[in-house]
Amino acid sequence: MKVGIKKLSVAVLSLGLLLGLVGCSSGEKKGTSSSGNKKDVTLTVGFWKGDSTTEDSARKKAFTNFTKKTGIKVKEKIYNDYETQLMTDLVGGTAPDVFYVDVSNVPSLTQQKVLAPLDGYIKKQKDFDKKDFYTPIYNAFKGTDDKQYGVPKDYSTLGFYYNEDLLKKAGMTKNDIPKSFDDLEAFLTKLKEKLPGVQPMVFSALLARQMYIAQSDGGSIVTKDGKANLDDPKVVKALQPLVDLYKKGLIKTPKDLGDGWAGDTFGRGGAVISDEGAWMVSHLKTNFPDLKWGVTELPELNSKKRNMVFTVSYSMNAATKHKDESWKLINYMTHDAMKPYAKEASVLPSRKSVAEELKINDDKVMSSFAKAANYATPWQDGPNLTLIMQRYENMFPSALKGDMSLEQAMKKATESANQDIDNQ
Amino acid sequence: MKKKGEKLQGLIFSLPALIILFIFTLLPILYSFYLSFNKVNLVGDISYNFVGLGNYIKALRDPRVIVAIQNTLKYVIIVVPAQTLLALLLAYILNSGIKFQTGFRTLLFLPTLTSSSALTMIFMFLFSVNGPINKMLVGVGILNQPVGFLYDSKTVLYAIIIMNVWSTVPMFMTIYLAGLQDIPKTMYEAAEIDGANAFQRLVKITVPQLVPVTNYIVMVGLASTFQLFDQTYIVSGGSGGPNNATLTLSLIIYQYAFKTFGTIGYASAIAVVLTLFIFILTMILRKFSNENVTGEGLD
Amino acid sequence: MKKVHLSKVILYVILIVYAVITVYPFLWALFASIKPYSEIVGSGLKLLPHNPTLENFKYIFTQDPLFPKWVINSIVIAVVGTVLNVIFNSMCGYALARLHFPGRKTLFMIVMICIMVPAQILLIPNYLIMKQLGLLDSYAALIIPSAINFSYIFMMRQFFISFPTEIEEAAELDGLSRLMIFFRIVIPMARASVGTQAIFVFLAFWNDFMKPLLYVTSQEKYTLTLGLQSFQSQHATQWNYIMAAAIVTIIPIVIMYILLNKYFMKGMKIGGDK
Repeated sequence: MKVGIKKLSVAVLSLGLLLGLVGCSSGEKKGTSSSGNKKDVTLTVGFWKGDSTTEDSARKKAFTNFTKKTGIKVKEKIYNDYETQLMTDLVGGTAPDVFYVDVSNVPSLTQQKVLAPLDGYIKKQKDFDKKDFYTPIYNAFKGTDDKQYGVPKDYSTLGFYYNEDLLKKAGMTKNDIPKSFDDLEAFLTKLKEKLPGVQPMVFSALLARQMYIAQSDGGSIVTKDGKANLDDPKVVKALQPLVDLYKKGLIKTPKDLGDGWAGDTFGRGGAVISDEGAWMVSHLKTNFPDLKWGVTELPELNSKKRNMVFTVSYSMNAATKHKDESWKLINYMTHDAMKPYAKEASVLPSRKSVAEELKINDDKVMSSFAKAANYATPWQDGPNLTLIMQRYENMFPSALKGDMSLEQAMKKATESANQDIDNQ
Repeated sequence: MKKKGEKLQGLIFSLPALIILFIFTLLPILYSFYLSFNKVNLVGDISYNFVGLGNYIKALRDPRVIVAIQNTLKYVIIVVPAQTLLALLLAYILNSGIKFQTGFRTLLFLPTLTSSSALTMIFMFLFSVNGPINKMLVGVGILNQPVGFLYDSKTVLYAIIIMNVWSTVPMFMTIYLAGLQDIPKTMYEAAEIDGANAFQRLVKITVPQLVPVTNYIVMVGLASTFQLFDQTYIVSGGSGGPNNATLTLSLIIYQYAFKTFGTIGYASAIAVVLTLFIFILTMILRKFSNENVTGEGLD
Repeated sequence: MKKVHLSKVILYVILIVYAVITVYPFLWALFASIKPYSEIVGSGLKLLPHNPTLENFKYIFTQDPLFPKWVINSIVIAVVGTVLNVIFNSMCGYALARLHFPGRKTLFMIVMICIMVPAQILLIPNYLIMKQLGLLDSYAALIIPSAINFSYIFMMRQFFISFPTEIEEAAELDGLSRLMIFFRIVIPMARASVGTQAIFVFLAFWNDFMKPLLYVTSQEKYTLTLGLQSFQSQHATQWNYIMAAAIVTIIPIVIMYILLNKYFMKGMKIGGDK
């Protein structure tokens, strides 16, 4: 019996070693250059579902047209859980040739060297005009080495959504929405008095929505070496007005109001104002067709226009075997296909010429978002932003609820984030 | 003679399970165990740096791990007894010869049919500030005003506990019921001939016959509650908040394995600690129950 | 006489109260599935729909031409997986409970440990193995690694331990081999536990999300759970479709449960209390 166990353990150990080799070998396959045989190339393209069915069908059409034009086939890989799936894909060496990269992930992915720099292809592509892209959006996909690691497909900024009927009921119009954050409290207080039982404003306690506020006093939520800096007095001071508004009941989170996200609160007429991105447009149109609403630019903060920009690129896997074909696809999707795609999916094109062709500036709703594209802060700050965000979202609600001061909450979040950053 | 044959029979009977177990579970476990002693980067520039017990020492000093252990323990201590007793009670009632037994069974079995993520989503609506649970509690006068059960660090873990007991009880109830029904009729008949009354039959036959099943339920209950993940992940959006109130060991493991690069070794170390934790606890429990640990003495 | 009556009443009350608690969330989901989206989030969570509609069901069945394929995939995978599990788990559980063979203690300990290891940590190593075996993006990837389940091996062992040995011994004297005894006598006797196991295993396959998520890429190989994930976009969750989809996934299992219920309840009534 004992012998049996010994034999067993030897077998197990050797299998374990084999597995170790599996882990190693998968990485060695990377770096294989473009294959000579250009016929019948199939590219795998990884992306997540869009905010609307029109976005999905627009993407599909673009892929079909790409295949028609170039003969390169496209295999779709839908990421239902981007983080889990991409991580396994990267470890397993099975990541798609081209995939979506959210702007916030660029620093960590480039640090891991999993994205291919595109500068060589951009140079060769004569009709590629990087100046046509909105500068902050295009540059957000630059690595610390100043190389370009993706081409933005579209973007969104934040705006103030307002409920027309509720404003009217309160005896106001969209022109009464303050142009400066300083007047926000007075405005919301007035709404609260006029409309008992209606929440003046709904906001999401997410770092992605508050980063521009947190940094409006000159502070920075992340230090230069990528560490959390949420407890910087300047950051705390800039965030404090938000906590004060919350304590007065003028702003509440969707969860406080019993909703999954602000799109539902606003859609059901539960709040007059909501600070959300352009992704809410299709949600409101599809699910709340009777609602009358509009969008304005965010009010100025510390006498300066500030906003966030969220953008996603098509990026190339550093380990792809079909580099030239991958570039063709990236270029096609962000050049030829951008106009029909943006038009059908009702998203904001990342290139100015397309925005002009689509007359985005004449579109009452979309123009409010587009105006911010030239000055907004990209949702990105070093390789640890996701982690810092996680800790912020863990602690910020405690400050809102009054369980602890904002300063304490931010201190706790910062310490916990930095401990993990040091551990890495 | 008999024993000799059994060696071969045992091997034949367990062979299919053995093969799959080795390839798809034991290997990954051993690999993770190996990772737990290393600082590993599996993406891009792959590197393994042996750090000995470094990850373990770090884990035991990590305040988030400590909070997660506390949360997990609190959860386990409430859920395991609650779900076991409730399941036993319901199974016993269902098996006591009441009418509409099949109808009740089917109704009570419903929660098991749905995936835990779909159930969690339904419960998020039910527990929300406008939801029926708040309405009822306010209506009865227990609460003055609605509470955001899932967003308050004081209540969220209890809401998850209720959710989980609700969804696991039917499964364990069904297992108890099967256990009750697998007790051969002849045993009761024999006891009846010997003149045992209903109570004696319960104590002498039903309870002892259910010991292995109870052991199973407690142990699987322990293993699954210690691994609480789905509910906390969905409710907190993966952050473990508010204020770490839903941070569990499995959630931390997930965070280190998937949300940050280069921390899978650390995640593995926490996973090993968690496994050891459960293992030691179940071994202690088995010593207390009157079933032999390996079943060796049951011939 | 009266006392018996009263205790029966209490039992019924407990059952009915618990049944209401159990059924309420499902009723809520059922009614939500026939509400338009705006009503689910907007009507203060009333149970009954104001404007009942079948649009949600129509949408989920027509939005993707592959939907019927996903249903078939799910059924095939769950049925094959369940058959394999019932055979392998019961055999292994029986061996652990009844047969003396070298390494039994070790095997049992390993099975126990396997139940206890947190699943999240095994995802990546498992993925590497699947890749090495060339099983990625196949049905086999969803079935083979799950063809056994430690928790149910353990369960079957626990059931077999309290089984009387007399009948098997008698059968052995009749010259039946162990495998024949197992399939002809032991399994039919353990119908209730085998049936229970079958249902749980089927459910686990039916509701499995992680394995299809990681192992399957081609949309034509999706299972229902993966297909339904598409109603959740980056920012919004389409509750109306999710609820309709949840109802659609539950119905086949309820039918199967009722059918199996009848089968394994036959002749199982014990004379304990009545």
